[in-house]
Amino acid sequence: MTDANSRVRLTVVGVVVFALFGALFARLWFLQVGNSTSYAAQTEQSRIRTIREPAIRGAIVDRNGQVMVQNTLTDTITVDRNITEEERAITVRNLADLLGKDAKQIDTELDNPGYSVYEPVPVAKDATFETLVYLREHPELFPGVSADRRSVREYPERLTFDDRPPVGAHLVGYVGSINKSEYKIQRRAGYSQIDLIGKDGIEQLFESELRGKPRERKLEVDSRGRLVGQAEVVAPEAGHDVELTIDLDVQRVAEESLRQGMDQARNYFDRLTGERYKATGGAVVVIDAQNGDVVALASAPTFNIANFTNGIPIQDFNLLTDPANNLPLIDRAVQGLYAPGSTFKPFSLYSALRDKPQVPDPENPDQMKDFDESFTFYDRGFIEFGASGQEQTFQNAGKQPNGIVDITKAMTVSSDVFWYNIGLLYWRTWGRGEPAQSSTNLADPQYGMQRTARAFGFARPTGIGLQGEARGRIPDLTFKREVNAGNPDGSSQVWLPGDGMNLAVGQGDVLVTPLQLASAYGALANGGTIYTPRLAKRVLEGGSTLGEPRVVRELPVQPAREVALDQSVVDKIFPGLEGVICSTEGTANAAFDGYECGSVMGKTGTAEISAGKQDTALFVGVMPARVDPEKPQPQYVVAVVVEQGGFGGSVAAPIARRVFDALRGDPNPPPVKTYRPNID
Amino acid sequence: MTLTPPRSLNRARTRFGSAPPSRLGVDWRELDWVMLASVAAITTLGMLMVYSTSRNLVDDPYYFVKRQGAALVLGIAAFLLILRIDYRKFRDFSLLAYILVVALLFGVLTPFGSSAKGAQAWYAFPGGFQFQPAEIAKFLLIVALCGYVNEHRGDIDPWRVTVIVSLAIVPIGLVQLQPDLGTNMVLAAILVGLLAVAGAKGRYLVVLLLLAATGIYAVVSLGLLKQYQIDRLTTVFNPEESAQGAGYNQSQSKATIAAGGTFGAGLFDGPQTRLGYVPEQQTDFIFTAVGEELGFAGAATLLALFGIVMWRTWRTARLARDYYGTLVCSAVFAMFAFQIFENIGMTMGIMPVTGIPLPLMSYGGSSLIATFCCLGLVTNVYARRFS
Repeated sequence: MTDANSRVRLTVVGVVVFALFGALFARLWFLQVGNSTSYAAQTEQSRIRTIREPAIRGAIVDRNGQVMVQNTLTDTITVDRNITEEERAITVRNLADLLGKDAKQIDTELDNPGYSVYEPVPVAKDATFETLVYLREHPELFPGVSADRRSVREYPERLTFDDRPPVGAHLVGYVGSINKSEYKIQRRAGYSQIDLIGKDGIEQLFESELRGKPRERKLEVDSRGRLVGQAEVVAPEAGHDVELTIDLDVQRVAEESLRQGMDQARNYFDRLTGERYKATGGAVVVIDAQNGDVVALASAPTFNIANFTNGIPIQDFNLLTDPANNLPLIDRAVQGLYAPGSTFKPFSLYSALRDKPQVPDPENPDQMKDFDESFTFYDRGFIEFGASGQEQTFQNAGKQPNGIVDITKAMTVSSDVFWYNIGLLYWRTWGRGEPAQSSTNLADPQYGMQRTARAFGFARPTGIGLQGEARGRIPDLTFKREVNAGNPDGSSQVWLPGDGMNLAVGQGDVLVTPLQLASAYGALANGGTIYTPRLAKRVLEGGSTLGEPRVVRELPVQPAREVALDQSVVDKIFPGLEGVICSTEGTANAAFDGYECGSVMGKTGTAEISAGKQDTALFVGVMPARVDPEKPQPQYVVAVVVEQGGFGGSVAAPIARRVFDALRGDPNPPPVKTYRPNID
Repeated sequence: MTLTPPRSLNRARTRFGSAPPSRLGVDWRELDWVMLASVAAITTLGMLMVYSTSRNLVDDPYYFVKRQGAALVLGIAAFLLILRIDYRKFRDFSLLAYILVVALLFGVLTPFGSSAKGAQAWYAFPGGFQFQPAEIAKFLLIVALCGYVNEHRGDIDPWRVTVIVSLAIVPIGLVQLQPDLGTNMVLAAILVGLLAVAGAKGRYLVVLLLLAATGIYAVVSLGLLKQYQIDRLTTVFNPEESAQGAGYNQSQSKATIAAGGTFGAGLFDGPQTRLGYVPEQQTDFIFTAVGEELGFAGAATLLALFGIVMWRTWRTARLARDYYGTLVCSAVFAMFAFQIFENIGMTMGIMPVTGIPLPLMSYGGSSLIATFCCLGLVTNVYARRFS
């Protein structure tokens, strides 16, 4: 046997080895039990590839079930990337020749890391029949290439002009490849980097309904990347259909009428600039004042959303965002901001009748009395105020005197001077404070017009849900001081009579969207309810709009707020608004030739814009003026805005008239008939 | 009266009295059944794992298992052969073993040998069989060095250490020419283990380790190592950086073991193993298959079985009836300890990647046979501890 020395040494070696085994146990425990999940995920990541195939996107139909957007199949040429380098070179070269594309571009598309290696990459969409035949006949020239049919958006309803763009381009929106920021937001919702996503309009607003659930396949691959099996399948779920509140016929008429009116406006000369009107853009909004349903939402110039279905080339997209083309992508109905001009007058008149600023009593010249419906005013065509020698002059748009006017005639003939005077009355009654005492508190009586405007929904988004909805602006002293911050001129820090006078006629710093304007008139006409505009009535099961609709959910009417309307005051305003249409002196009388009195009320507007731009033409009409609660019926509000279009009565009102024609049941009304710009 | 000792007394004395006639050459009751049972269990598991890891590599799923089975038969035959011969006789074969190992290792570098995977390390035989002399060199070097050390018991002075190291350097140098770094590390471990038990003073061992360090540094910096070897050795220090390159093996290996969790994916059901995500899994990385398919429960059991084999080997070294027996068992112990720790440690990312097979588990006939030869020696010493 061994000696003691060797025994000791053997023991030492044994202990060392025992310690090493201990280390192995500890490491094994740490790897497998202590820290297992992160490593397990790592192995699954390298082994499992997930492939998603989009579900059939839901259709978009109008309130009567007419299809606005559906799907169609298109032949797509795809390349399977599991080919050798040599095969790939052949394919890329020949595809470039066949498709007339740059070989480099095809190469780049093939390298798109967004696609799984096991997924064929699309290189050409909407392939022609000849191309497909050539591919079939020469498979040896195109290794890895195949054609499959993919579902893309289709728009059955087209407008008649230009390249027949689909109806409601801005409203419907389009679908495109998800971009980085969208992907960041949406990745949790199960989007992959090559998914399509609704980019605008209804497609964006109802993305979660329309999209459905993509089919999901989990492919298991071995270490050499060979497919060895499908580990799991998630069945696709078709997207839901969305039934809009839009009336497709009215929408189409609105877009056509806007186009016709703008084309005609460009034939007229602007006397101020000596040029033809440019009519650079416009919008038509039609809502139902009884429930806030949006019946039509048009913006001009429009664009062809069908060009987006196969991916719009970047240079074409750039044209759509070019100011030289008047920014067709902008949805002017909700994003456009305009001075409302005289269309604002009902709200400033409502304020005055409610707030009752002091006016001289005609029977008692030394006494003052409350402003009321009996107030009359001599319209000389201009109004002056201020210390003698430093008078400021405000005048009518056409400088013509209207003689003695009361509230009804002033509205009918659109006497600016009458409203300038209302602004002046506010200042004279409540606003004589020195600068230091001038209050930014909106409850201050001198800001009655601002309070009214805000109550009717101006200067706040309506909440329609379309992207980029503008807020608008009702100027007050806080705003004025922000704009003039640091201006040493004391007059820039106080609310001056001129500020109120401009506000009373909807000029100066007042900005509204066409949708806000329609919504405010709706509240005035329906007794004071502000609705959040509703674009869709129901969400339906995918494909069920064609047969018996199966409802997934109803989208309720949403009354947002009540304006505490004094109905007796409103009743005093309506005759003037009816006169605009009905009276021979009415500014929109010619446009509504043939309409019986009382069927429509409305107001024209011609807003002066600074910065050398031509006047904005506006018109807002309501039909019928009153709805008997006992006999509910739709009450349509039509708001028309034409940028640099001239006078409201000559351009905007005729456009609105044709839309009203359609609302009265004529799907193909006679063309818009505009008038030379001589009426406000 | 002359007392003639009973016949039985001439026979080997054993714990159980006279040994019955046995074809084993020893009393079967004197065998270390605890160790042999562990060896059997490990070998069986090894076969299953070779099947699991190799069934998808070629058309015949049993191709590797059949070849490993053939090697196993040869290994058991070698084990029985070695067992029959009293281990003390091996002392007489020291010089022969040394000449044989040098000749084999030299011959493989000549055109008699063949190369694969960048190393000139095999003798090829008809029928597709190959023999890797570096594996059997472990066994032969143990026989050779133990004989020499045994003769110089008690005078392990610097000169003797130098001689012993020099004796070892020759085969190590030849192996390095193949090159086969892993085997060399095992050979060095045998040398160090042997010297430690034989009584070399601590400072000699320190000097030896310094020399080894200098040697490794020289080998690395003088370009005697291939770049891939350097990469593999250094990967363990920066695994994340090299996860796509040299560290791929190790990161996949770690992840695969970890994926097993507590109870594993089930025998033959490990996805990583089934789909071949771990390179060289049937050979050097076979432990990853155990880890993935049998989980911590299975892998720890395997470690425990190895522990039993180690313990019994260590115990045999203590129980050996003579110094030579102790030396042989110590050398085998050092060899097993290093191979097991390095191989399993490498799969779990705590040791550098080198080509060292896991004894009894890894696919590879030469390794299996050499292991059984070594086990034959240990069993031999154990069975004859009283005689």
